[in-house]
Amino acid sequence: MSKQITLNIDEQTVTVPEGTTILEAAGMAEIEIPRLCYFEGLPPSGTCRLCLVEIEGQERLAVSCTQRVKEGMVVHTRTERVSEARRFVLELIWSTHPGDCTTCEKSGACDLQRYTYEYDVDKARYPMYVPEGSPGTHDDPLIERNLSLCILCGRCIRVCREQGQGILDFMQRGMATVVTTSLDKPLLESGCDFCGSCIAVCPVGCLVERNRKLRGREWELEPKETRCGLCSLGCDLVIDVAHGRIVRTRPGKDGYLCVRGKFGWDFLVSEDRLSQPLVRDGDAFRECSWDEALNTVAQHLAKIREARGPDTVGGVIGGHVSNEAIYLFGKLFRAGVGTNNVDSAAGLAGANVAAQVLDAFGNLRPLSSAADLERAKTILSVGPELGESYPRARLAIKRAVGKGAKLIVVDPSESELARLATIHLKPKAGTEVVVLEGVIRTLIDEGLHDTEFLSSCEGSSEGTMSVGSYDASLTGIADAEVQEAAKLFAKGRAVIALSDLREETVARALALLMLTGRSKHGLLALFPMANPWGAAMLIRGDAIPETAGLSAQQMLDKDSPIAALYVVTADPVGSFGGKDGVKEKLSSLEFLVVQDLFLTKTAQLADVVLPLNGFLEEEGTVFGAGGKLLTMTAAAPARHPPLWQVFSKLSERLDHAMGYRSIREIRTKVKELISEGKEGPTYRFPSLTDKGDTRAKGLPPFSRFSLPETSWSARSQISTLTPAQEATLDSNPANTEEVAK
Amino acid sequence: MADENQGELTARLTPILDRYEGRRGVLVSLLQDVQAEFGFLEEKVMSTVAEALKLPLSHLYGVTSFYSQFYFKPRGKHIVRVCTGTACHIRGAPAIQARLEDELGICAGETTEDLVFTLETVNCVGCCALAPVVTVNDRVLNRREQRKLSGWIREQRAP
Amino acid sequence: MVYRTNAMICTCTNCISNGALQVKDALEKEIKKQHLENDVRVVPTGASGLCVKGPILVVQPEGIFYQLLTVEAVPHLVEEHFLKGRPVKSLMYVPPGEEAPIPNIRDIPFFKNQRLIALRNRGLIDPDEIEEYIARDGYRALAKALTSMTPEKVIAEIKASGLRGRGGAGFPTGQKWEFCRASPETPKYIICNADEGDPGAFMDRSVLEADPHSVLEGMTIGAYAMGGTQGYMYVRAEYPLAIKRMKRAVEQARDYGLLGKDIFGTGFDFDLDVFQGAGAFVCGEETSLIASIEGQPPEPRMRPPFPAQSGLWGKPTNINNVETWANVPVIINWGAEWFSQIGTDTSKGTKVFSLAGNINNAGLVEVPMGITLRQIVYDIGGGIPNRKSFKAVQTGGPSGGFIPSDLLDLSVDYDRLQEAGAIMGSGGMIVVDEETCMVDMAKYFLEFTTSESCGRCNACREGLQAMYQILTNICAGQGKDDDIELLEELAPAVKDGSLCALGRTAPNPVLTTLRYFRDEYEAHIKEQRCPAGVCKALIAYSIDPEKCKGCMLCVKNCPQGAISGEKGQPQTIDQEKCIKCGACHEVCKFEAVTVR
Repeated sequence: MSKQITLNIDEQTVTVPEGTTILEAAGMAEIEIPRLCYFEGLPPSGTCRLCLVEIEGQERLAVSCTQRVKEGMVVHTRTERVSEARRFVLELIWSTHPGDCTTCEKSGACDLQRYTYEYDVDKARYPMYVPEGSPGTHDDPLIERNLSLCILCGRCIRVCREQGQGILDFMQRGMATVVTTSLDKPLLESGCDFCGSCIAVCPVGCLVERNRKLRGREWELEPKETRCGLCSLGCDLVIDVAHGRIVRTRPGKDGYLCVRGKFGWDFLVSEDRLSQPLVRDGDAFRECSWDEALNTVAQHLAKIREARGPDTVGGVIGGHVSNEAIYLFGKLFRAGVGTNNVDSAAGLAGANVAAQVLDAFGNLRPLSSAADLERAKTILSVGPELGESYPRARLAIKRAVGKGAKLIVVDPSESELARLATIHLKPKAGTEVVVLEGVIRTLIDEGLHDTEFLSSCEGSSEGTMSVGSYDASLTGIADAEVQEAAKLFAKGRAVIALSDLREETVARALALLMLTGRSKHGLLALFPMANPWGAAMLIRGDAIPETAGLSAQQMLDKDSPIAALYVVTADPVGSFGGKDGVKEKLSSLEFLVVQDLFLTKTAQLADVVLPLNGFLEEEGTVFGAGGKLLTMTAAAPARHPPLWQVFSKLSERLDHAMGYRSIREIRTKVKELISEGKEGPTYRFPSLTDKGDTRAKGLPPFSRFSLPETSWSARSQISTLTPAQEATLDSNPANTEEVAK
Repeated sequence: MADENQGELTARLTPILDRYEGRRGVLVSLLQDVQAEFGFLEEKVMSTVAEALKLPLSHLYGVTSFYSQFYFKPRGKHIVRVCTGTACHIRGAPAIQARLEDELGICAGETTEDLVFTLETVNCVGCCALAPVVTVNDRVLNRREQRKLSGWIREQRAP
Repeated sequence: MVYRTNAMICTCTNCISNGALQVKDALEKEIKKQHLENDVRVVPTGASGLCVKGPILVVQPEGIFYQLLTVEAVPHLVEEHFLKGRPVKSLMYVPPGEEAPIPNIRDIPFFKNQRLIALRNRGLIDPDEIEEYIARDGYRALAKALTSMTPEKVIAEIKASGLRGRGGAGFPTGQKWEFCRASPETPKYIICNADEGDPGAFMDRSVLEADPHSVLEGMTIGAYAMGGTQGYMYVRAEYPLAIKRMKRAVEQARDYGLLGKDIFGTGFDFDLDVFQGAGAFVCGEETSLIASIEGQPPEPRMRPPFPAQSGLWGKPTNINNVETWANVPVIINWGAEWFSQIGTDTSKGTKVFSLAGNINNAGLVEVPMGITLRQIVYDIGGGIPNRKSFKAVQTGGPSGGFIPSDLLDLSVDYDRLQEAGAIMGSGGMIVVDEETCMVDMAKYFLEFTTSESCGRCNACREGLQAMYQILTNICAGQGKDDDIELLEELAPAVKDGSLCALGRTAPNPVLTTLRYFRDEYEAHIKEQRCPAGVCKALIAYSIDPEKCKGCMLCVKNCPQGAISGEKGQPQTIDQEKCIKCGACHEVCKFEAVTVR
């Protein structure tokens, strides 16, 4: 523990660690010192001169955000002299500030407004020169920059450097100083990734969310804490609602949201959202009541079950919904309909990471969160433009690298992470797997693998591990580079960040973890959906019929026996288009129900379309990236009955009453299925791969990872689906590129 | 300049970047050399330098725009500067500046459309004993030479 | 080869712009033509000091001073002086208002009243030749320090000398060195601040151009004393010749083993880079200069920590200005005791000033501390030209202030100047006469500081801007009754609220003009009148028909065609057309154009 310093602030004795600034120390004693340029968590700049305080024995006023405490220091934060100095600064700023508080979105939460009021500042005393053609509003998407309101505190510059793309700086000097991008270009041309961190720190109305405009005044906002559901990282998020509408989102405790969390929710307030259930009426749809819609669905499902047997009915649900909804969806089919034909849409993407992890390790302890990634000493990032696709992961990696972590990037492109990398392995596109095998090979050849760990694995036998020799001509990466990467990887606490979720890639990543004995928090698999793990596992549920079920892919096959299908928040037609006969299959179904936010391409083929609540509108739990249960609260007003009620009611209409009265009861059930042990969650589910019951019982046989010694040409036949393509499998419109445009 | 392809640009930049390779405290000097090579700090050049130095482009612009002697637009063939140092100020620099602005048809800080002249002010060239002072292409003109300036300007303008 | 005579021709920036290089060429050619090349050697030197009279030639050893040379005058000069031994009177200096020329430089009041320490070699050596510096005891102090003094002894000597920083603030140099030496971190950096940014100051430029090695030697001694290994010479971009000469000096010093590894075989290493600024006044502030070298935007940084603890790249760093460094070798050679006998109680040694503005002998002067302003302005400077009267002298540039005529007997040292509201500053000394408006001057300096402020601190950026706007209004005839009060309120608040010295001193020109020339402010505000006839909005030009001879010179020079009249008859000015440029006033030979 660091040395403690005792000082006196405003007649109060305060003891704080050495190195604390006066402003921080005052804060600990709940004495608030006004500030405009200081922002907690950012390096102080000491330029606004508002946090001036008087220190006994010191002639000049001290800048409390930069001056550190000293033993015995006597500080006064509210003397007349201090107030005068603050009033002076405020008067100067206020003199050049337009002061359009009546229409400014920041009004009510503006620090300048607050302080000028507190210090009773006169606006017009100083004749200030406002240069002609002074910068006005910039034409940027998402973020409105009104530089005439800028008070040059520099917070946005600092936060952009720390969390964003570092595209802002003070330009020019003196009176001409302006905070903007290089050559004052629009944000879009400057490399902004629209995380909106700058908005979160702006003390005035200079930076505001475009989409919040006219939606509500600051004092009307009701903040609610929840989590972002637009990718598998589940970042903390605060949502502000007014008049029953979402006004904006803000970062929660984590202090960061990416463009998806900050702006990507906008689809929720889209005019195009489905507002009522629709039933087919010839070539068109007509709106109907929920009762009518549910009755129609239940009747058709029951009819087809009667006529053709339960295994001609199936259900597919996307990874955006809660564990509770997924669990109940599974139960609806298994218990209500009586079929195992129910699957998550995650399977459609060919990614069955959960199954692979469970197969290899028997539990989900290898899962890592963004926080684990930040603490890593070695990071292996696999996936094209992983940082660009998952900005929170990029930030974690950047922070880790800032703390000295070594970064190995496997990425064919010159991505952002590649620029941060200690080693950038740049393979020919599609040959990432070969590179990983090369690393595995080196680990074994050089004896860098953890034999102790391996021998503790059940059924372990090193002899069965066979990896082909590395062929540099396939990847274009020299042996030496791969070897260097392997040596680096073998050291320190490592996390593999993975956005390339092809089965063969995941298998190699898991092999790497296993070989180096990293059985805990070593894998951050990144999905463009909130709940991939829950979707993959809870869909299994209990009360399983005898016959094995079909996977989502099998159900959508044109020759599948499925006659009635219920698709929730997935858009196979939109994703696959005419490929693989998906559209033909869905068109030829006897009965199709689609539940989604929008009238998707799949929904357009449906007989009944049910509207859906978005991620901020419905409560429930999800599995976070680190394998922990995370709670999402219904932060925004729900528009429709929650999914659990829809599924319950349908089940009831299919003569199987589930008996849940609230989502809490389902959550209890979900929690029963998961025992969150000290070392992470274990699950009581059947194998996800239908290869027999391999419930968690220690570590699995290592031999599962014997990788066949085949030539690459043969292997190249394996899925070449890129994560970007996977992303489009989902009906979720909140993709980064779309948002920014 | 704008038509110059990246390859040529790199070829011109590489020797400069090499000269400062691995040294600290060279950003300003490096950019001065770059400016000497290209005449001004063109956008493409700046982004290439930023990439080579692994620095944010905004940082490069933040630093360079702070100084008065980095330029972001093409400059004239002849740089005429009016010294606005104190001695020059009291001995008539404002009138000289006004006259030159009038003659060249541009304000201080601007370049004529034909790219022949750039007019600037400079804080002090340290030739206060000769005040008021004008410099042309870094050559300090005394009062006698200044009297010939108008004629010289007309000559340079003639096609 | 031994020459009978050395023709020392000044090739400083001033003289070059007056044609010194052409004169030098002509001189060499002519000497050859007269077959004198084995007798007379032409030596290009740095500034001799009396810059306003350039090109200047001093013939040594006799010390005959020639001024305002032209190429045309050279053949006659060479023939008469060098061939026939008859000095040419018509090219000699004549004191203002007198007729008899003064042949010898030692008798010219401008030079006679000076005392040279920092400028000891001015006009005496070729700055491009290290050997000439060495011949004048150059690098002897370094040898002495390295071979016979401990670093502590060197610091003790500097402390005992009472040398204070010549850059402006006057911090005791020895103490500064001691702080840096005491910092445990390594490496340590030694920086010479040659970012002479004050408008109206050219001392450092002259020293660098005339005697670069004196600065290098001082820095190397400092490096030895403080344990520095790497140096930077930060020269402002506006001084191309100084940069060129300094770079050459560094190369020569390296060649002679006076920079680099194992200097004088003592195992002491020190090397130095010349860093060219890029045009920012605030870089003269030490923390800002450090940021500039680091490649950061040159914004001043919070102190503490002081550069002596955490400067360049967080390492202990010592910064002194050019003149301070140039004093160091002399102190080491001659001893602290000798040095401390010069000057006053609190200000030891000499100070270099660049004398400019409305003064006859504009140029570079070095005087002992304690000399009066009157001696500088009249005895050395030769008084005010064109029969105008002295109004004030400005010292310290934008950070300093104006000292009025009734304080002319003020003794020049750090503390007296501060008491008077000005500062010693780096040595710019601008003399202004009755035709200078003090409100306009205050506005001029504020315009300078507002545009040169880094713009990060609110108090400095916005506060100076507010002051500037008030002054602009006053000059434009839009002053309000409470403007003076507002300025007096703003000035201390800006000083108090600013992070660095720029903001803390920028209100000084306003404060001193308010203190000594309040009546001028009041005339502007209350009477709508600019007593000095400068502020355009408050003046009108008219032609006195009594004095006007109708020579039409004003008509020819009026850019607006605002003057009309018959030739030989009194002219009149159309006030509607007049833009008050003052051209007519300037060209009129009969003082017929009056300003009201």
